[in-house]
Amino acid sequence: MSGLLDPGAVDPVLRLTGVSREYGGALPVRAVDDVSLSVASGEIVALVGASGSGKSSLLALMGALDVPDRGQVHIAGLAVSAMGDRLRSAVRARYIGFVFQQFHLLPTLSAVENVGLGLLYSGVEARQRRLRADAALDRVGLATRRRHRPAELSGGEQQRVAVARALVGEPALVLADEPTGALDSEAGATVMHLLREIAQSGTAVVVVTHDREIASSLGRRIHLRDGRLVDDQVRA
Amino acid sequence: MSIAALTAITGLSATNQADVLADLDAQGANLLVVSPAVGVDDAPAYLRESAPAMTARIPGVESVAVVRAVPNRVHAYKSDLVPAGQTNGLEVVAVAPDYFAAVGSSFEAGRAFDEAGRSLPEAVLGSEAARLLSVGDVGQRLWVGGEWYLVTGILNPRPLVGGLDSSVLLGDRWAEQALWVDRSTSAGGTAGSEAGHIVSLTISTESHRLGEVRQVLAPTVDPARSGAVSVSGASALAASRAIVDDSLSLLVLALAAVALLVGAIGIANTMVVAVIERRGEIGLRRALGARPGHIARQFLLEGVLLAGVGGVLGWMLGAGAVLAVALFGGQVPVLPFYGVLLYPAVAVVVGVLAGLHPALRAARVPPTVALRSS
Ligand SMILES: Nc1ncnc2c1ncn2[C@@H]1O[C@H](COP(=O)(O)OP(=O)(O)OP(=O)(O)O)[C@@H](O)[C@H]1O
Ligand SMILES: [Mg+2]
Repeated sequence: MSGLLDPGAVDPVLRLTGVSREYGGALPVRAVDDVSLSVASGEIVALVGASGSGKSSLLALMGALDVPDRGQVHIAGLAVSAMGDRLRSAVRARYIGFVFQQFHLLPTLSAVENVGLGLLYSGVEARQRRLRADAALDRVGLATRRRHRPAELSGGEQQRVAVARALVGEPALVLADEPTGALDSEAGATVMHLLREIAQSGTAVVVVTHDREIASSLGRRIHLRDGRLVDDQVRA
Repeated sequence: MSIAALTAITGLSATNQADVLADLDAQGANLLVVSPAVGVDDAPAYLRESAPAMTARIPGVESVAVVRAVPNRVHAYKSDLVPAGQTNGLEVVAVAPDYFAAVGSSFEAGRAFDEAGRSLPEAVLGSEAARLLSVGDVGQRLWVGGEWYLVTGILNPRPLVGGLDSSVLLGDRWAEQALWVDRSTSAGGTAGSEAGHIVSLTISTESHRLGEVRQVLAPTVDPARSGAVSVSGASALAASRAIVDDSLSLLVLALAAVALLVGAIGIANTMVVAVIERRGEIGLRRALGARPGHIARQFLLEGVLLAGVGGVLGWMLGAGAVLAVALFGGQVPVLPFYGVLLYPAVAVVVGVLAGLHPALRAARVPPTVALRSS
């Protein structure tokens, strides 16, 4: 195999091979330890484990926000673990959508502007951004709140704006780190419903969660302990 | 903010500078006096009749005031009872009405003789002359050359115009038509050729060109014998004027530099704080695909925008302060007009320089670290 693109492997969307990540410092921590897995398009996966087991660290590697010390990460067939910062940024803009526990909406922007931000770095021009952001907001059921600022929205609504921002670029992979962690169960259920819909439309989705009920409701569950993959179950 | 300080400092100092310079000019720092060098035989010497016109043509000369001689026998006394010879060292000369404005002297009382008074027995006294002659106010009489004169004006002290304070000034037409004629009839007209000879010129120059005017003055006044002409001026004052002009400008420059430095540090500080406060936003944008260059550009642009807006507001604030202070102080406000464009531009440059480091720092934060902190 040569070059960044592995033409035989556009699917699975995400493929990790022997991936490790160690944080330096006085007491080095091996947050991710020799993890191999792949996620196909249309799949929705729960990533579970105790606090500090390395879920967020692994998600950062899956999302090309970070590079492993060892092993390879392929996203849509691209070897992101061999890329520089600029190329990885482009891969994130083109292929990946993120949802965070704390929403990460910009407080000065309206809902539609926040969603439009998801297209800013893929070079979509402003008018197109507006149109597609409107469509994405409509998809999460917030068409009427497009002009509202984050402070004028409930937590559940804010997270739905964040989901719209993640899907507006039609990514191949959506990564959500405890997306329901700051929400009540009802709002959390709405967000999970949206994520399932995204998966059904052909996107690979990985959801970090502490919630057993949510974890067991998803088709596949990956269990981490001390950075190691200890269990990878597909439900019948 | 620092642009406000900058505008205020340069504006205020330019105003003050203009004020101080005007003060010095008022004292005669811009004046030169041309007189004949005293000959070996101590014979009275005069300047050529062409001298005033030639002098007026020198670039940088603003005005030329002519002082003419009166006959030797003419002296001023308090009254006809004072014994002849007690002249108190007072000098009697003849001048045109515009002389007083040209040398920049002001009147303690009364005024200059007008066009009519120029041909009449009227006198204006220097401050010292008035004291010595015990003349307290205008309207008093004076015994000059065997005739009564009406005092129409008393001058304020003007020590820098050589001899003016102890002079008795008569109208030049009167001197020409009455004094000289009078003498020539009574003494056989021998001195007729001396009538109204020029004993000195007082030249007012554009202050900053004093030096160059001074250099060409002697050859201009008497091209053939420039050595026979002596040029004097309030050289110490002129020098101090140059110092004030330069040092105030230098001081302003130093203050402006400090103001800019403070402004730059302020912007840099604001940006560093913004970069720390907005780590979450940086992380989010990186996650959405922003390259390090995007982040650096965004913060740099915001810094420049901040500085530019600050520059315009600052200039207005500073200009307001200068106006207010000048109006309170009764000064004429002087605002360097180039400030309108220059200061915001300077602010933008400072914004770039100050914002560069924080912007690059923002760009270098790893996305995972940036996302963690919020
Ligand atoms: N930047 C870092 N530098 C040093 N150590 C880190 C860093 N990030 C994470 N760690 C350590 O790596 C381990 C895994 O952290 P991680 O955040 O991935 O866990 P997590 O499973 O997401 O936990 P939680 O459920 O609490 O979010 C922890 O021990 C953590 O202290
Ligand atoms: Mg975590």
